[in-house]
Amino acid sequence: MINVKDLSINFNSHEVLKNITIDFEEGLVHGIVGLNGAGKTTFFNVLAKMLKPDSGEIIQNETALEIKDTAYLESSNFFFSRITGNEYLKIFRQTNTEFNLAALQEYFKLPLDELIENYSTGMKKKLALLAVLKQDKPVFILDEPFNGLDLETNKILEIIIVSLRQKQKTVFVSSHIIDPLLTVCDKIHLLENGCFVKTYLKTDFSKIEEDLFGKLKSEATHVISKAI
Amino acid sequence: MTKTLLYIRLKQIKREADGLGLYVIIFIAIAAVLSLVTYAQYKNNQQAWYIIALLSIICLAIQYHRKDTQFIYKQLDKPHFQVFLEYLILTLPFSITSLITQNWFCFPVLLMVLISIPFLKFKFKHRAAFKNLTALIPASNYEWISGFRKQYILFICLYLFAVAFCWVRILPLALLWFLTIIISSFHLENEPVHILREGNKTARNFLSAKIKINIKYILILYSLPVIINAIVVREFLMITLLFIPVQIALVCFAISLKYCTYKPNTNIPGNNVAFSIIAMLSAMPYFLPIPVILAIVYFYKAEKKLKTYLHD
Repeated sequence: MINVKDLSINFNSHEVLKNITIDFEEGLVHGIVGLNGAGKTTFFNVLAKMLKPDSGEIIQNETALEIKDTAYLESSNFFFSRITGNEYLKIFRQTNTEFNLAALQEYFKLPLDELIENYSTGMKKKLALLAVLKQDKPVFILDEPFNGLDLETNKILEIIIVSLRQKQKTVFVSSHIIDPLLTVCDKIHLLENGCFVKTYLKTDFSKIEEDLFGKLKSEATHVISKAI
Repeated sequence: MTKTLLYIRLKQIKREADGLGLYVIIFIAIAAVLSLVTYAQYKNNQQAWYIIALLSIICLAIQYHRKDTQFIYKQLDKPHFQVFLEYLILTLPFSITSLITQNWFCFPVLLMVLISIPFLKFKFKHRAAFKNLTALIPASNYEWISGFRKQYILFICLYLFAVAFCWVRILPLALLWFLTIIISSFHLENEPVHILREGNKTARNFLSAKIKINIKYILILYSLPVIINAIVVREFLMITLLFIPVQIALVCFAISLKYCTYKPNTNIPGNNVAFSIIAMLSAMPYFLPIPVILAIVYFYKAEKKLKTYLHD
């Protein structure tokens, strides 16, 4: 179990995460959804120890979750200029002994000998994902992994996430598009204004859209119909 | 608005100047000295056209490498004029003084060149030169792979000239000093945190490993020309003996400065200015200890900064 206890973080006196307490079962795929500014990326950054919380802690099996326990795919990826895809992948030691680049390349089809700056957004995302998959970590954090991917790779990514679950990895995944989360997640947690307000089991997934966009839809429909 | 680009540049310069703090005074002083030097050349040298050639090459290089052409040529009003204005203002302190000298014609010649440069649009796809570079440089030294690919022509030329002229006094050392500046510019991009964390090192171990590998490369590259120079040119033995330690201190300073101002996923061109000033000071005998002192001071600052991100 991954226990988040009383987690809070402020930016310039604005409380982004508000005293969060929540438990995540290990070996499951947890979807994190929320409107823009809800605190999804901040939560992931704290989970991956990129940000230090003002208070609270994250415990995994009674010890603090450490940097070495997490693999993090950030929402936007930064690459050094003038290095090739192959060179980027070589930076990371392969701790996942089952990682087979050639097999994954059958589907990713990345021009690994070319400079990364010539890649499209989707190709860069795929490359960053490959680097993450090279690592054998108990926790995988994927922030907006579906962004910029083509339809085919979206499906491949869904298969990858399911495979990670089969290997008993705990996966946290966020997405602005709800549909892929409904397919791959075991639980989806709704983050609203820096607080987890609800957790949905697979049987309740049909309610997420209404809970997330219901209020926005009714307000926006009224305003937009008058504005255009 | 035909001044939009200048307005943007002014804002950018202001932001960089704020970041530089007191270093900005040294920067202005260097620009003033260069302006006076160019004036003296226009006044006393009949062959001062080379200054105009140099300024033209600098502007051409900027036009070739600039990444904002899409924005400028699609979004701005009268883009060619705005780009011309930008180059004109950039070169003005080093060209306008020619008007009151025998080389007065240099200024209109430069104007003609500057007017034509904005019409040159370079569109190209970068190619990976030296594809098997990892056979020489391990991928963990991504700064060297990236930096070498960006500047390999200048890098190789400077090094080969330094080796070829290693029997001449001072010249090879000056060439290698330029090479040190190039090597230090490899450390201007901030890697993402997950690259920083690769290898599970503590902040001190991480910094020490980076510094050690850079020292190793400098020793491999510089030893041959410097040793030959020390043997052949005995009258500057003291300078030659101190040369490699000072260059190592400069590169250590560049690495420490990078991690002292580390912000994941960003470029830090401002550090280049600070580094250039220290590099120039290192070329003056009385200021030799400065890079060494700064390298030590900034090492501890960088270690403190990295502790936030690493396994400490």
